[in-house]
Amino acid sequence: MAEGTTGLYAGAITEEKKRNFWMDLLTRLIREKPLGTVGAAIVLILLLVGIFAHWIAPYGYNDTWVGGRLDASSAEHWMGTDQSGRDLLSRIVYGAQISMYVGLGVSALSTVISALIGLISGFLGGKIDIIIQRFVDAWMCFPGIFIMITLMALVGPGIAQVIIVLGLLYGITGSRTVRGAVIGIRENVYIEAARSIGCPTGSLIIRHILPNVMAPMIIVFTSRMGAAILAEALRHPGAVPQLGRYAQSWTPIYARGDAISRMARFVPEYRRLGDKHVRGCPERPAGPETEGRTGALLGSKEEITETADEGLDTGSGKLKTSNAT
Amino acid sequence: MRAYIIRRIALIIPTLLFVTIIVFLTVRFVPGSLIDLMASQAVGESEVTPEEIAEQIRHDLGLDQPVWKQYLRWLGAWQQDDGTFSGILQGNLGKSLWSQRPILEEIVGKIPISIELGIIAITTALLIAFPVGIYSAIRQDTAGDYIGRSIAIFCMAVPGFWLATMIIVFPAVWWGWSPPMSYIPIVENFGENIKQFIIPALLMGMIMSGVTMRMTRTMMLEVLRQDYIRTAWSKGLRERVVVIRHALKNAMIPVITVIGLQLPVVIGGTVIMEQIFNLPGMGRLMIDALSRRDYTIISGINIMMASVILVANLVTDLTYAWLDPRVQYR
Repeated sequence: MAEGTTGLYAGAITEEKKRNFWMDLLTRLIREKPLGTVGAAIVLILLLVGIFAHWIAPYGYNDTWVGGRLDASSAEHWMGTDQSGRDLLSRIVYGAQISMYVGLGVSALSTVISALIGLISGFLGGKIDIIIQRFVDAWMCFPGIFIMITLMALVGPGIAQVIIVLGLLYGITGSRTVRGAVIGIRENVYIEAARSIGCPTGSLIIRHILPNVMAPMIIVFTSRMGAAILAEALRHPGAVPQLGRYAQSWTPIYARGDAISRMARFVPEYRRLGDKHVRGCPERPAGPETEGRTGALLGSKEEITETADEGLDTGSGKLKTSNAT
Repeated sequence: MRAYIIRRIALIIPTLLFVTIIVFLTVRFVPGSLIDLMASQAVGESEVTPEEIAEQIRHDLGLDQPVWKQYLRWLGAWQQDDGTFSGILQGNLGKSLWSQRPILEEIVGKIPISIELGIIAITTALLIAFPVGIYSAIRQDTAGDYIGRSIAIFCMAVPGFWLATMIIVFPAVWWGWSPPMSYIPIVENFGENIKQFIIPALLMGMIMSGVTMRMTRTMMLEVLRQDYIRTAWSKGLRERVVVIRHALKNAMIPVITVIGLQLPVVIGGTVIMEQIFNLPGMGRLMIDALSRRDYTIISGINIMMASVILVANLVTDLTYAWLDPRVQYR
């Protein structure tokens, strides 16, 4: 009888636990890993925004508003409009889509590649390791940007291609981290023990090695994500024109290649401004051109229309007319 | 072990050959050609058509030869037109197709910039990553840990070019201050040179420290849970001894790998920082050469970078054995 009641009691506990499992997990997560929860929430929100971009974005990513160029935020355009008169909020929402696809895709692919190469090369060791690692060495010796240009020229533009190329690029390089970790634990006693009871190599790698290299692999995975989003964004127009379409991603808003070069073009003007104040800079008097350009980046609208046009590839003709009217 | 080292060093040469062959070939398949550009600029001086000029330029530069012959000439294993051997084996990297200056000269002028930038950056990265990483591992889930990790995530997440631009723009606006504009060699004026390099190098260091710090922390946490650490504690060892002598060395293998992967920056430079801070380093040379399709410069930089990377990887692998005597190479 006593047995029956305890059994019932235990059953009740497990049932209650089951019911509250998700809530329980959530509260525990928030209490024990506040930073991680915040990060996960941000990623989740961005991912959802990316997936449902079509419904969230108030306008299409390429809808141009004639006359409404570089507008401040308003009821119509919450985040204002960009240099070509497109709604910035919509572009950021659509950009989230590409950036999340590329970020997650590249880090997943590169982690799988890293794990495959690293586990095999690191665990088997000997001649196999030497040969595989020479190919990894060779791959690392090609400058990254060179690999991107050649491979993108071969596979053509597109998100899938960007993911594959960046995934390969990071995956093969990252395999060295996994391999190093595997070499570090390969000689542990428990591996020897597993081997001595006749554990086949495959399950040795998956059951005994892989769980022990998860920690560095997670770091590799997470650090790749940001890097991939940035790399996708940082396509220098002169150097890597083939790396994907750049109409859609976050690039146009915050890191498009020509935006960077445009910023970089302003930089000397700022330096000049600095020099002028500090050293009097006799050889470069502050002309109206200098003043105008420095003003431009700070947000004077008329100046931007003058200076920024040179770097723009889209919509400038239309915008000029809209400015004139 | 010695046999392993000898084998690895011997294998550097075939790997280098393999890499240079691939680069030598593929760079010629990338769309766009320097010759067409040069020819179109030369048109107008005479009656000849651009095609003829292009043909002439190709002949002058030896690009009308079969690719294998070009490669062997570049390597220095095949006679040049004048019957002499001059190539990598003779220590001659050739001339830039575009500027006609010897590549060695181009690189020698630029490499000190990248090395200085890279060394300061890596030192900064390590100086941030190790203390913060170790501290936040041994004080897991304390306020200090959260601050440290937040810093690391900030370093990994913020785009370097954005931070760099802000650092140039805002001091200039607020205080009328900006880093020196044109490049000052270190031998000319040490103080000014450091002033110029310190900001981009610190920025690069910050960005690079993120991954290293995360890796140090995670690996330290893994190791600190091991039985032998508990034994060390229970023996009554001081915290510093447990952490530095017992834990750190065992946590270092993946960290060293990450640092090894970052090392090539010393010689390859970073395009963005060099661009924004107006430093004529290797990264910029590389990008310029790529966008002009200046084959010889690309090959020249490639062989230098490849040598550095191969040596860095070898040193990394040997460091594993030093860190963990159980690691054996056969």
